[in-house]
Amino acid sequence: MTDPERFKDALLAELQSLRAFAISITGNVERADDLVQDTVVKAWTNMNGYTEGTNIRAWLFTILRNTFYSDFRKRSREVEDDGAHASRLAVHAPQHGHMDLEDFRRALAQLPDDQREALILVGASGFSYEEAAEICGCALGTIKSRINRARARLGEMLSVTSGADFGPDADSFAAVAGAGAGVKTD
Amino acid sequence: MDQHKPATVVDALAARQEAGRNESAQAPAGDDVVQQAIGSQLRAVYDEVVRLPVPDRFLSLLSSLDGRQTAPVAGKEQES
Repeated sequence: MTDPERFKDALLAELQSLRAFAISITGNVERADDLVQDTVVKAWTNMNGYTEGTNIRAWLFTILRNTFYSDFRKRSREVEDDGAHASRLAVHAPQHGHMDLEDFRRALAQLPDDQREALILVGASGFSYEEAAEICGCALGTIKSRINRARARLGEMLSVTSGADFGPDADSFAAVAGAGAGVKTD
Repeated sequence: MDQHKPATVVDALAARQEAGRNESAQAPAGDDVVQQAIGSQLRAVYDEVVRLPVPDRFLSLLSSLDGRQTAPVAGKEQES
């Protein structure tokens, strides 16, 4: 049996991460918050489905993602169409966002959903490839290939747009990216 | 000091996260500078989102799920 108090503490500790992931896949803060709320309620009612000692963040992300694809996506699709991508992760940029990350943000938004998701899970949320595969309900090789394609694609896009103001690693990045258009997809 | 040299930035990042965000756990990337830059910018962009303050509604929700402290949030109580 899962201890409710500890479970609640864990939920509380993961709220920010859950919300960030929700924003990244919905591209809309209000919808993300609804999604997080549903996820929290589902997690609570199914808390005994969680095995203590395993990665609770992965467990919660799985619930959130499944909820999104089963409940939210249809609705989203009806409301927004091709403009959807542009807003992902860019939604809240205005307030806290750094301008020098703008190119990156834009490039990230242009990735196919599945590639961006895989990249964020492994590259930004700290999941292993295995955990990401479980969260997405797909094969390990699929995750790896999505990430590889995402990285190659980003490298390509950014090598075109990168300039002197390309963020904290501007010097090394611009040098390499500019020199050979180094990264290619195939 | 690292057990194995991560082959990619994402590997390095994952290893770093596991190593408790220890900067020194980052592997020397050699010719992987672009991918390192992508990795660090990805985290920078995503961390901005992660750091967004969590709305109060979620704290209320958790309290209501707990069945203590505050009254249930309207209609969302599913505990029994």
